[in-house]
Amino acid sequence: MAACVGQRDATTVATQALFMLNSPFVREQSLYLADSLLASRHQSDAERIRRAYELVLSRDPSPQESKKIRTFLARYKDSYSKLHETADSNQPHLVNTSDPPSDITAGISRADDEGDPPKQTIERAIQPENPKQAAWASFVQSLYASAEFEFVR
Amino acid sequence: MSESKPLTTSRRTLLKTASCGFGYFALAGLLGSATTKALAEDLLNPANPLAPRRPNFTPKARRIIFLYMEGSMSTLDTFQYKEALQKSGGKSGPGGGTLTPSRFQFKQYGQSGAWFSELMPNIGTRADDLCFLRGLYTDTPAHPQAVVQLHTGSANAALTRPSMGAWLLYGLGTENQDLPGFVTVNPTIDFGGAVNYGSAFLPAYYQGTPITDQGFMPNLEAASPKDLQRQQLDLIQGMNRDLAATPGAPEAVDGVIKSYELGFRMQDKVPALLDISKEPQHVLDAYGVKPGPWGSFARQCLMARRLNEAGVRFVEIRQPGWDHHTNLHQGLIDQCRMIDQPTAALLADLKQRGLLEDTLVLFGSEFGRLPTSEGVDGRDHNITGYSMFLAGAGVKKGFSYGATDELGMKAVEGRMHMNDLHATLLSLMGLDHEQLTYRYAGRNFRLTDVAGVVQNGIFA
Repeated sequence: MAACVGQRDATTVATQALFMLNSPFVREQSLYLADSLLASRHQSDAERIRRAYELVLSRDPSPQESKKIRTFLARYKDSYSKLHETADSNQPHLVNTSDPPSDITAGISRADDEGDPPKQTIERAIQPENPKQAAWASFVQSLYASAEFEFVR
Repeated sequence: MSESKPLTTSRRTLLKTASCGFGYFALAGLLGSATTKALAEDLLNPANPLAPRRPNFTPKARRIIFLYMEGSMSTLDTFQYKEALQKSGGKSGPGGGTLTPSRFQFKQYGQSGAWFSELMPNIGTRADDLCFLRGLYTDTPAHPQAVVQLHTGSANAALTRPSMGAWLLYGLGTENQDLPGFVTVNPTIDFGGAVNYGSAFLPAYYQGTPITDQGFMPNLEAASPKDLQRQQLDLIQGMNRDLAATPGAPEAVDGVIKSYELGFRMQDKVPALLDISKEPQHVLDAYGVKPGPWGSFARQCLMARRLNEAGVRFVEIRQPGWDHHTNLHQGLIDQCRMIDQPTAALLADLKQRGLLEDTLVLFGSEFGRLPTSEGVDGRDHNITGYSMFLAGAGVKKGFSYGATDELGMKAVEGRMHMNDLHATLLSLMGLDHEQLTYRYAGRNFRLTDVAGVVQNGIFA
């Protein structure tokens, strides 16, 4: 017995878009890859961007794309810093600025230990610790959220 | 796998080159700001699947609220008075079993004199606004099939059909471009689950958006401050537009771009809309809003009014727990305590705000319950005759259509199959159920499959 069915339209609904923008899972995965890109300290930003495109979209970025991303990273980093300066001056005692950025990586790796990590660990792990990391995670998340990544072509 | 066809003229190309495209861009330019331009694009672009669309004929109703009583409320104990049954206690029923009168006291309400039991004193006060359907029947006496048939028109599990809310969005589009057009509050996870608000073979943007009875929708809280998220979204949308511009790109990318913008706007609009705590105290009191399961349906009724007011085409809210094979007496007392006041408050509130002028309210279950008893304190399923009621736009007020026999066993007059109900609802919304089709698997499909008769005897 064979069933004959029409081709189903490929669609994305708003709730799926919200998942890609806000879900802890997608944000955490984005932070993982951002950290891994930033961990190799000898690469230039252009090389990191190319690596991200290769890993997520299986292709090289065009020169225009690479330039757009670098512009995005600079602007995002700048906006993030400004927002956090304001937050710091408002609540100086709540933000421990002496925390080394490596703490966040430790937070993530604890999730790999046996058993479920406590919820607090996850929430901590998906909050970037500095402007640079925030910008790179946001860029990586954009790749995951892009239609090019979501659709099989 | 889809093969790319770079030589085919896409909608995009057509829009850019055809003469109508020129005028469309001129209008967008005249309208000025980016937001107005985007809005104009949405409204003018025939390819926007959610743009408001012209119905087949002038609609009597523009929106629907469905108050779904899952598990099948015993209408014989609530709003279906049967004098003969009340006098036939202990006799054997037409299909076997022992006839069992309702143990609750009934009385008449309003000018129309509709009967309600003491379980529904508040809904009773709305009697003159209601339009009763008393001759309903359906096909399957088991919940999983009957629930799915009520919601999708077919109980055939081998081929899942789109839900009625999805059909309405497909036919009519959505009026509020900041919100989903089909919202289902507290949806069931049993009896087909998401099938009951799914889009099946219709495109996915017609599916219902589920919300809990606490007004919660996952991932709605923005992960970063608005300015940062807008920067990120601009990057994503830039990538999507680049992709859309490449030869042979899937048309669906347009849909992705729209979904991201809708999602972004929903982050602002939806939490405020679902925050019923901002309602004045007298409104909260009228609905009987309170925390916990006892206040679930009251909260849902208030959310339904707010969603309806905001232009959501189809809102379903749900009260489970009516499957009284046992514990019929106390069970009904408890259940009605949860739904009677809020249902009446919703009807009064909609009327007072003028929303009932263009909103159709549907109240009821997947089937009914027998006039005979099951065990010492229960009633079994009855698919041969039961009741629902409508209120609002397009239907007669204080009116009763159809009837079951004198014992409430079988629909004998104004008989209305599930397909007839759907055909009638679509008609009230301005849609011809025979014309609202979608081609799939080699043939056209309808909400009413190959049946359904519009029961225009209920039309105002």
